[in-house]
Amino acid sequence: MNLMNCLILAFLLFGIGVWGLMRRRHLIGMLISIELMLNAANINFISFAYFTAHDATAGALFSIFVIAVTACEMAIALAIIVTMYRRHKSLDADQLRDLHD
Amino acid sequence: MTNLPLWLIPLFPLLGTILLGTIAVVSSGSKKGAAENIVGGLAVIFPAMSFACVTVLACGMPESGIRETLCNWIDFPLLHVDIGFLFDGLSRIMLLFVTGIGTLIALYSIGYMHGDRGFARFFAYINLFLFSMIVLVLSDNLLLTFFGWEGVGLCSYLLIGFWNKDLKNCKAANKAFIVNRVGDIGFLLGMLCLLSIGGAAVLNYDIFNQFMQMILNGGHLDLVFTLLTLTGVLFFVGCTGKSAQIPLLTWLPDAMAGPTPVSALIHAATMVTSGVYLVARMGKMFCMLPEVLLLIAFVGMFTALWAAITGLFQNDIKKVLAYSTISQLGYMFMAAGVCAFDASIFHVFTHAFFKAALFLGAGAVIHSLAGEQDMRKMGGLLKKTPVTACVMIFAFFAIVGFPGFAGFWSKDLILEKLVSNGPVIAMPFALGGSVNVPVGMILYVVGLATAVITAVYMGRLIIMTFFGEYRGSKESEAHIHEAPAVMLIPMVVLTFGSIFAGYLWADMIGITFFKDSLAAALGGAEAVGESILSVHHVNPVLFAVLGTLAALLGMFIAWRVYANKKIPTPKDSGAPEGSAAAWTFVWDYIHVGFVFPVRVIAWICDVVVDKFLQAFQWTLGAIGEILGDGASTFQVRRVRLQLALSITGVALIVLVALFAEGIVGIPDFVFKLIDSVKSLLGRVI
Amino acid sequence: MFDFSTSHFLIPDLLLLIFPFIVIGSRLFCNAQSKMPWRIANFGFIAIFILLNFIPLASGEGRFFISNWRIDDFGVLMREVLLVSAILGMWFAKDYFEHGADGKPQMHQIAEFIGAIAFATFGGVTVVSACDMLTFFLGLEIATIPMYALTAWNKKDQLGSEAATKYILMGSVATAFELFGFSYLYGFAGSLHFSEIQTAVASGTSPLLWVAVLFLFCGIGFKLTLFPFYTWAPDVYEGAPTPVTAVLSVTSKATAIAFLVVLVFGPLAPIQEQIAPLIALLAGTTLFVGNLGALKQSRLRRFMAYSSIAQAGYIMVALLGPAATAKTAIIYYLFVYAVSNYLAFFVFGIIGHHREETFASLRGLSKQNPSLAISLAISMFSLAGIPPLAGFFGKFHLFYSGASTGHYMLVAFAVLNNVLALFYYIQLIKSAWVDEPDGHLTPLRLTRRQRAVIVALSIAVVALGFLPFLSNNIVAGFSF
Repeated sequence: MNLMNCLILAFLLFGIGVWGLMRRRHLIGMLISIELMLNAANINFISFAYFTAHDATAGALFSIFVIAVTACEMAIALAIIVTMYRRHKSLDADQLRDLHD
Repeated sequence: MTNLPLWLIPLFPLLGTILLGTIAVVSSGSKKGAAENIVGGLAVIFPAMSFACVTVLACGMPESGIRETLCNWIDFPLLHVDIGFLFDGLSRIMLLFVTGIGTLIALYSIGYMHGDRGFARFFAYINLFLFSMIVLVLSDNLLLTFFGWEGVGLCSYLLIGFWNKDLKNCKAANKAFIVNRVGDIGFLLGMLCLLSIGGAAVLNYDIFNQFMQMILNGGHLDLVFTLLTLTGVLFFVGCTGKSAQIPLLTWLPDAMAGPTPVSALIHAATMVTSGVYLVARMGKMFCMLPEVLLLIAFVGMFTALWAAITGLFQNDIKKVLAYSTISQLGYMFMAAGVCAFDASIFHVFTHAFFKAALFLGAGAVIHSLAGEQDMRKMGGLLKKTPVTACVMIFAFFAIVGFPGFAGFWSKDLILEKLVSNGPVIAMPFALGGSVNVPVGMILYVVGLATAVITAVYMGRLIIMTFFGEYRGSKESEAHIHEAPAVMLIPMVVLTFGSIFAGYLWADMIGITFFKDSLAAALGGAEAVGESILSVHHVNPVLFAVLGTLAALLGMFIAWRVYANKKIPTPKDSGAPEGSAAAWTFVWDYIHVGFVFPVRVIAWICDVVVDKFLQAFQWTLGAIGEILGDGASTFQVRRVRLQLALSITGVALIVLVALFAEGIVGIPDFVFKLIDSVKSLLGRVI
Repeated sequence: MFDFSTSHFLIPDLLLLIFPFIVIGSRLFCNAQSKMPWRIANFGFIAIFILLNFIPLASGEGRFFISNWRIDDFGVLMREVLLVSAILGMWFAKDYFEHGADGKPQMHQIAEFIGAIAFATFGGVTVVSACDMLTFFLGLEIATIPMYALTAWNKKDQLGSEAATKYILMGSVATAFELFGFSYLYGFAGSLHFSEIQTAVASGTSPLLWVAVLFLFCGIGFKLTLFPFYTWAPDVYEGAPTPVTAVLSVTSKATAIAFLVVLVFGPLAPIQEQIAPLIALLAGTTLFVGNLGALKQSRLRRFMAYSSIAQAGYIMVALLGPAATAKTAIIYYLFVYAVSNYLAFFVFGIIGHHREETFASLRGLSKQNPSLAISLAISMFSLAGIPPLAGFFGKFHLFYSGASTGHYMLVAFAVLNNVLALFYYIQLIKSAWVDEPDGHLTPLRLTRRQRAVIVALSIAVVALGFLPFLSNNIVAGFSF
C-alpha cells in the first residue's frame, strides 16, 4: 500500500464514474456515477493527507466537508429528479429532449 | 467664503439642463406646453447661481489661482486624465462674463421666446451651452477643454437649428457643425502632436507651462521646433473653426438663423471667443513660435478687413452684426499674433458687452417688427422704440471706438500693441539682398483702415434702422412697440457695461487693473514673446488720437453716404443684392473647391472600391454562415451526448496540452502512470 | 459620512449572510399576499450595496477568521458587481412572479426566491474572499446549489424541470472535476492555504500540478461555459424562468470568472506564463464557437446563451494580462456586462410576457414601442462593443490587458470575432427596427417599474462608458 496505488485507485474510480455517466441512461444511475467521481476525489484527499501532506488534518477535514456538500447537492438533485419524473413519467435521460432550437 | 468648491460652477447649469430637459420632454406631449413662468424662472436661476459662485470665488482668489481635481476621468497606462478645474486670472475673467452675460441673456430670452412652442427646450439648450462653455474655460487640461469645445459646438448646432421646421435653418445648423468639425480636427491633431512631444501629462495646463518653460530655459527649442510649429498651426486651425477666421468663417453669418439671443450669447459674446481663449491659454507655446504668431496676426488682419468690407453690403441686420463679430475677432487674433494676449482678452471682454448689447438691441428691433430682419424695411425707429435705439447707439459708439466708450480703450490698445510689439522681418529677395518689412506697421495700417470701415458699416446699420422714414408696410407700422421690461433690463445693463467696461484698463489715465489681474496667468508668455519680438515703447496718446479720428471719419462717411441716400426697395430675400455682392460668398466657393475632390474620391469609393469590399464581405459572410451551421450541429438534445462531447473536449485539451510547448512534464507523468498501471496489472495477473 | 476602518470591512458580508434568513423568516409572520418580504429584501440589498461603497479602495486588505477570509480591492468591487446583479435580478423576478410569462405558469414564494438569490450572491462573495481551498470550494458550491433550485423553481413547467435536470447533472460533473483538481493541488502543495500553495508552486512544478490545473480549468470551464463545456448553457438558459436566466448569466458567470481570477493571480501566479497557452486556447475557441453558435439562433434566450458564451471568451482574454490590469479590466467589464445583459433580459422579459420569445416577436418593435426598441439597441450595441457605449471601453480594457503581455494574435482574433458578433447583434436590432410589424402580435404593456428600470439601465449603459468610478470606490473615491 503506497501513495501511487491509492492514486491509481482513485483515478480508476473517477474513470468508472465518467464511463458510467456516459453509458447509463437512468438518471439515478447517472447520479451514482457522479457520486463515484466525487468519492474518487475524497480518496485522493485522504491518501495525500495520510502519505505526504505536512498539513494532514486539512485533507481529512476537506473530505468530510465534501461529503456534506455532496449530500446537499444530491438532495437537490433528487428533488429535481422527482419533479422531472412527475412531468415526464420517466427517468430515462434520453427522454429529455424537449429543449431545442 | 472662498472655499467654495469649483465644481459648483458647472454644476448649476448642468442641473438646469437636466431639469429643463425633463420638463421639455415631459411637456412635449401636452397641448399647452410647460408654464412659462416656472420654466423661465428656473432658466435664469441656475446661471445666476453659477454667476454668484464665480463672483464669490473671483473676489477671494489668490494670485496663483485655485486648482481642484474632482476625480479621475481616463486612466489608461498611457493616458491619465483627471477631471480637474483651474481658476486663475484668465478663467476668472472669462467665467465672469460668460456666466454674467449668460444670465442676462437668459433673462432677455424669457421675453424674446415668449409663446414659442419649444420654450423649455430652448432654455435646456442654453443651460447646456453654459455648462459646456464653463467646462471649456474652467478645465485644467486640454482634453476636458476639448470636451467643452465639442459641447459648445453641439449646443450651437442645436440652437441654430432651433426652429427646425424650416429647412433653411437646418442647413445653416449643419453648415456650422460641419465647418466646425474641420477646425476640431485641427484641435485633435494638435493634441496628438503635443502628446508626441511631451507625453500625456503635458495636456495639463500647469505641466504644459512648465514644460514649455523647460524647453525655453534648457535651450531645447531647436529639437522640437518643427513639431511644435506644427502643433501651433494645428491648434490655430482649431481656433479658426470655432472663432470663424479665414478660411473657416462662412458658418457664422449663416448661424444667424437661430433665435437672436442665441446669436448674442453664442455667436457673438462667448463661444466664438473660445478660440482667442485657447490661444491665450497656450500662450507659453505660441510665444516661442514666431512663424505661427505671424500666421495668426495676418489671418486676423485679413479676416478683420474682409469681414468689415463684406459687412458693408449686407441688408440683414443680424448678418451685419455677424460680419462685424468676425471682424472684431480678427482684431483679437491680431493682438494675439503679436503676443499681446492680455490686450486680446481685454477686447474679448469689452466686445462681449457691446456686441451682446447690439445683438439684443437688434433682437428687440426684430421683435418689435414681428420678425422682420431686412434693414431696407426698417427706418425711423428712433421715435417708436427709444430705449432700444439708445442701447444700440451707445453700443455703436463702443464698437467704433468713440473716446470714453469700452471699444475705444480695447481697440486702441490692440492698435498700439500692433506697432509696439510688431516684428520687423527681413524679407529676402529672389535676386539677392533683403528688405526689412515692418510687419507691425502693416498690421496697424490695415487695422486702422478696418476701424474706419467698421464705423461706416455700423453707421449704415444705425442710420438705416433708426433714422429716416419707416419703409415697411403701413399695417405693420401700427404694431411697432417697445420690447417688454424683461428684455429691456438686460439691454440696459449691457449698455452700462459697454460704456464703462473699458475703464478697467485705461492706460492713459493710469488704470491697469485688468492687466494686473491677468498678469499671473499670461505675464510669463508675454514676457517671453516681447523678448523675442523686441518691443519698443510708443506714445499711447498718439494712437488714441488716430483711433478717434478713424472712428469720426468712418461715421462721417456713413452719414454722407447713407443718411440721404434713397434705399432701394427690397426684393424678397435679405441677402446682398446682385453680382455686386456675390463675391461676399467667395469663401463658400473656395470651400466647394475643397469639397469637390473629396466628392470625386467618394464617388470612386462608392462605385469601385465598395463593390470589391462587398464581394469580400459576402464571401466572408458566407463562410461565417457555413461555420455557424457547423457550430449549431453541436447542439444535441440528449444530455448524455452533451456530456460525452464535453468529456471528449477534456480529452482533447489533455492531448493539446501534451503536445503544446507551454505545459511540459506531462509526458513523463503519463509514462510513469502507464508503468505503474502495468506493474499493478502484472501483480494482479 | 462615517469612517470605515479595516475591522468594519466584514460588516456587509455578515449582513449578507444573515439577510436571506431574515427575508425567508419574515414570511412566517405575514400572510401570503404581504409585500413585507419584498420590501425587506429591497431595503436589505440596497443597504448592503451602499455600505459596500463606503469601503475605501487601496486601503490595504482586511483579513479575518485566522486569515482565511480576505477583503481586498478586487473583492470589494466583485461584491458590488454581485449585489448589482442580485438587486436587478430581484426586481426582474418581481414582475415575473406577478404576471407569469413565457406561457408558463405563475411562480410562487418570492421570499424564498430572493433568499436563494441572496445565498448565491453570498457564495460569490465567499469565492472572492477565500484564502484557502476549502473556503474556496464551499463558496463555489454555495453559489451553485441555489442556482439548481432556482432553475427548477417552476415545478409545473416541463421545460424548466428538464433544464434543471440537465443543469444539475452537468454541474455535478463540473464539481467532481474541480474537486479532483483540488485534491491533486493539495497533494502537490501539502496544504490548503493559498499562500503556501503559492510558495510550493513557485519553488518548482511537477506533473501533479499540471494535472491539477487541467482538472481545475475543466471544472470551472463547465461553470463559465467555456468551449467545449458549454453544451448545457443554451438548454438551461432556454428552459429556466427568465429572471433565473438573467441571474444565471451574470451572477453565476461573475462567480466563475472571479474563481479563475483568484486562482490564476493567487496560488497559480508563479506559473501564469506557463498556463497562458491553455487560457488562450480556451478563450479563443470559446469566443469563436459562441459567436458562431449565435449566428443561427431564432429564440431570444438561446441567442443570449450563445452571446454570453462568447462574452465569457472575451473575459478570458483579459486573464492573460498582468494582475492589476487584468483585475481592473475584468471588474469593469463585469459591471458593463451585468448592466447590458440585464437591460436585454428586461426587454426580453417584457416581450415574453405577451409573446413568444423569438426573433419574430420583435418585428416592428420600433413602431409599437420605440423606447423599448431603443433600449434593446443600446444594450445590443453595448454587448457588441460599439464606441460611445460602455461595452466598447470594457472590451478595450479586456483586450488591452491581453495585449499587454504580448498575446497579439489572440487579441487580433478576438477583435475579428467581434465583427462576427456585431453581425448577429445587428440581426436582432434589424428585426426590431427594420422588419415590418406583424399584425398578429399582441401589444406590449409596461408597468411603471419596468419603464423606470429600463430607462435607468439604458442611461447606465451609456454613462458607464465615461464615468470615472473605477479608479476609486464610488462614495469613498470622490474628493469632495
